[in-house]
Amino acid sequence: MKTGQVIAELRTKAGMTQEQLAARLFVSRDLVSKWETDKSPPNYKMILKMAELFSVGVDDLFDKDSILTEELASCVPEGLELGTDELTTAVNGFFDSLSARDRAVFIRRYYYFEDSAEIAAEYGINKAYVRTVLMRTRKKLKKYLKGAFE
Amino acid sequence: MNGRYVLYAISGTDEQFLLESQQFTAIGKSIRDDINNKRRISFCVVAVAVICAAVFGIVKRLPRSFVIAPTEMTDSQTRFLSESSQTEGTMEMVSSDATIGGDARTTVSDAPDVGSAAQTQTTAASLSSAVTVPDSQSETPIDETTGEPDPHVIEPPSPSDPVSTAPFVDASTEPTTVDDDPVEDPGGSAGAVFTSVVVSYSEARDKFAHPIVPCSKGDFLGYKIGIVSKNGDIDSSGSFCLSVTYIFERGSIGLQDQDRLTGSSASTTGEECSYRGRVFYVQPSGSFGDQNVRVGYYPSWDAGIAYEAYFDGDVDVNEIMDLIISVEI
Repeated sequence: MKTGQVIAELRTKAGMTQEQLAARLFVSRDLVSKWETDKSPPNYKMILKMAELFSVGVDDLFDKDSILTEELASCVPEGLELGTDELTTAVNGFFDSLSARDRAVFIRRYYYFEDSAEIAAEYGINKAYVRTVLMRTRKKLKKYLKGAFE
Repeated sequence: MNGRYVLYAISGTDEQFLLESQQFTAIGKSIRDDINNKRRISFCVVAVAVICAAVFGIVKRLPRSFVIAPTEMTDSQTRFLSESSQTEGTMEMVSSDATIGGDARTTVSDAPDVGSAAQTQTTAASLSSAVTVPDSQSETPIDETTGEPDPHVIEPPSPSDPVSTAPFVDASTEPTTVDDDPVEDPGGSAGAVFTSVVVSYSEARDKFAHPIVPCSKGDFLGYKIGIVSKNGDIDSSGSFCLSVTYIFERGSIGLQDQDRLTGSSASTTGEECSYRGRVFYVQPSGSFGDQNVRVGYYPSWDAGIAYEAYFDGDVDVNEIMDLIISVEI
């Protein structure tokens, strides 16, 4: 089942309207609608909030978990431990160092959870190029984190 | 620390980067241009290498009687090298012609838009609400018959200049509009609409009375009248504005991009009115101590475009709603 359907079911089961869910999450009703119709997936932070709200596991809401977290696991330098705020600040600093092109592709993948084919279609580019950019950017992120915190 | 932590950190990405990633047309074009440039360079390098290999291959096979003595061989080698350089030059010229053709098409088609090329070049963030003026002091072509600057030739705008989408206006005079006084913002704040005004980012916040969300250079460069739809699709090549007001004889309709403004305009104040499949909010004349009627229309509530009309109190409300529908994106 797609994430949107799962969210709609959980919301209905909890007896909430889209407006009520939006209010609880401090987002717009339109955004909740986009989630439920799979037009735009919720980011990971929202997934964690909804998992807590609906008392379900994150894996119930996030069907691409294993792929994306596996990809990003390669970005973490060995032995590095950071707080979430520290890491968020570092990631934004890293994004600032990237070109607009690489940054946009990376965000579409790891914020909006789009796959390579979707990103390629949105930007009118080759799927292989998207994968190459993502791979290079992950390596750059690892190098950046290593340089910043070691 | 594992991938989930990184994923969580990425979910805290600054909004300016998120907005930038939605500029599909501009980003896509930039990527494709980069790929094409790299392909051209690779093609030239490979072509030169093949030609050099072919030339030196032929030289090696020449009979000994044709081979010149060492000192003269140097001259001969120099000649061959010169020829291959000329050939290289020719190859570059051929590829440049192709590039020029491609760029010209791109330039012509993007001349009114500017946005995508300008996004990576301009260093100052400046905002023009409506009309901006091409630099009239720049060098102009010479009329061949008179020897005088040709007044009829208009140079294409350079990528760093804001581009006008209206007839030429002399920058030295005060801009004139139908109504010289700033039109009141349909949302209630004064000074929401100006024409022929160039303001800096910090001035824009005071002048337009909007808490504008900080955004990247790419958002304001090549500013032209255009609206980003509620789904983030770009109407022009990477350019968009935050709000636009259509001025009519007896009122105005303001469109605001709520996705880019902090806070929203959506409000249920007024009477709810269903009309032509849409829900409008009508505040009749006298609601604000004046004789004007206000009509709000929020298709996606506090996201996407907000439409707010502000008309003389005796204008037919149905006519106002028809006008809103006519400008609906």
